[in-house]
Amino acid sequence: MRTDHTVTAPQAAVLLEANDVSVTIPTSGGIVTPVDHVSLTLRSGEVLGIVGETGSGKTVTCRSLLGLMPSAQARHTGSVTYPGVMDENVLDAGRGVMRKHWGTYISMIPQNPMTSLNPVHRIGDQIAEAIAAHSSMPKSQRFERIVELMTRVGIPNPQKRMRDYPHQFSGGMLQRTLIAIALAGDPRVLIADEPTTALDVIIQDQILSLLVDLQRDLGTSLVLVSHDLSVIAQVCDRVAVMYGGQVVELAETATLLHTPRHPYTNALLKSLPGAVPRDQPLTAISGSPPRLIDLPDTCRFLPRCTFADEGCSTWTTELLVAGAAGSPAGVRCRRHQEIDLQPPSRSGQETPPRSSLVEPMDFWAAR
Amino acid sequence: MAWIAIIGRRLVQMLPIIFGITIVSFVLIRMVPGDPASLILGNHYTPEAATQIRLNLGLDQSVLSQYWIFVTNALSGQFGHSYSLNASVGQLVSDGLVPTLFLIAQAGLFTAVIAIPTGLYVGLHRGGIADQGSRVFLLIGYALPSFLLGVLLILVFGVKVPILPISGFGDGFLEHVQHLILPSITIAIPFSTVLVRSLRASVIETLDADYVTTALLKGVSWRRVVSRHILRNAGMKVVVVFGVNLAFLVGGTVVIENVFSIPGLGSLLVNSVSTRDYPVVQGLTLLFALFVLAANLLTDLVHVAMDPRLAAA
Repeated sequence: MRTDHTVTAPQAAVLLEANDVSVTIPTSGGIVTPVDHVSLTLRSGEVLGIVGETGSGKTVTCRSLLGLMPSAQARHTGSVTYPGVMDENVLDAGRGVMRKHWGTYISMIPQNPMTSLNPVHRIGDQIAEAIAAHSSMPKSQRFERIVELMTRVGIPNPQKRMRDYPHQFSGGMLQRTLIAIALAGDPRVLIADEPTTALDVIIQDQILSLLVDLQRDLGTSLVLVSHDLSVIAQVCDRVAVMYGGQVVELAETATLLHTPRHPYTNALLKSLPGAVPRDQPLTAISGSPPRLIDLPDTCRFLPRCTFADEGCSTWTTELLVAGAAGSPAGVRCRRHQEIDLQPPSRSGQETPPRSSLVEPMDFWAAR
Repeated sequence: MAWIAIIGRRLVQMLPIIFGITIVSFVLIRMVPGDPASLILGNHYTPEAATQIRLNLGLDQSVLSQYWIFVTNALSGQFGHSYSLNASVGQLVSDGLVPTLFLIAQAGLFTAVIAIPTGLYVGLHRGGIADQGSRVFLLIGYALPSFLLGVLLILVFGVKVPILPISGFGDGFLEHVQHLILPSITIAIPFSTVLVRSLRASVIETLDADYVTTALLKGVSWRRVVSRHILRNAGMKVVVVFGVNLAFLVGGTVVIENVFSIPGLGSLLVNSVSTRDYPVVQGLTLLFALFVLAANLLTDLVHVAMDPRLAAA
């Protein structure tokens, strides 16, 4: 799927820029930092992946790209801007200002389709609301648009099904509806927050293919959040690896998979069935991911890192520039130039095949 | 189709409940000490006259056969004649029904007018000044006994600043409304505290719902998100609380009608109990039970109308 992609020219316009964004939530147990100094850029037509374990701050990060905070108590620093469209800080803007950009410039596809549609309104009315939010077209034209959107996202028999309520839809159909809602205002940026996590494997694949098709056909930029590196590997141009609320490595997908620079990225690859040659064992990462409460400034991965030395315990983390000029890349490891990670792909396969794309029959035969 | 099925099922469920209530009320009122015959005769009491009255009223028969007579008459729409007032039970009830229903409707309306905006506002502005302040109001409103509140209102608006009628029902629609302002407020204040609390809680819960985020990210106005997505869904849960409490209200009017001397069913019930007017007590108990059941049925129907998931089931 990746090979179909037109390679993103480095000079493509920047559509979204997150600069040193941190989000903190004061709680009775201490200060929780789900997003810690995250900087990201998204260019026109690009697919940016955000990968990380549960609790690594992926969801809060991508919601902050839309100006949404996890709670009223949450505090933020840094800025998110949509260059040329919204040059003020999105994080400070508030609902009234962001309203103009939501739906038309940036949309989100949520994690859980089952709870993301209002149970008391018809499917068609909920899509219509998204259309009506930004354009005043006559009713008949709006009806055509609903049918068109539903057809585009692969909902069969739209004239009939738009009269259904959400509880009459399956999870996959609900997610298609939510994609239709996200697309209703022709946005330039789509944020997909683990769009397939709540769905079963076959449906996951359909939804992912739909997203990739739409992205390619409409030229939309896409931020795809996932905890599944194999999904990211197939779809994304660039990948940000998150750990403990920080981006620990940011690189082009191929570079990241072949020559990971951060020990965590490498450990992640070594635990991935598709990335490790069949005759070699998978390696689990020992220990557990950090809780996001009252974190130190030092490396989050330090307690689990097999490459750490004495200097690491005092090093205040920062995203170090890595990679060639013109392709923004970074790594949050002070020893990234000294250590030899021995990534799995050196000893065998080129890119890991996406496990879920394997036909079910083949999968069993291969075993 | 779903509607007919729901209504039909509920009506069938009601039959044994109604039957049970008639038995309980029939037996209970007869267990209360006091003899209707001696209360009717008063100073003219002689054992012979009392026996004659019992014979006339059928009170000499066994409770079981009295009940049989009551049931067979009730099924043909006859609820008997009052012992102490010169009228049939049907006549007395239909006279008292209007003020009582009027009071319930007006009190319910006042409650909704107070509770819906307040609950919505404090829920949307959780932790704000209004939210903090309303807690004091809610606590006082909830803790204050309604007869005390009623007397307090009479004192303020009837005696100190006499701008509102403090008793009776008046003549004509406008006078009815006017006469029932104070009684309705007396009912609405404690009633609305319950609703404000439950609406606040469910608004806060709904605010965090994923579909509210979806709606917000469509780029529609906040006002629309609130009315179409938050209030609609939060309201669904509160309708149930409203309905259950509306049923309780039927009992609550008994006290209020006495405080404000409203010639409704509540006043009638209190009088009938004290004069051991068995037919009136039986008729009223049955009617109140029907009120409660009807309120519950109505609540369920509104809930089904608001939530398409229930209509399918």
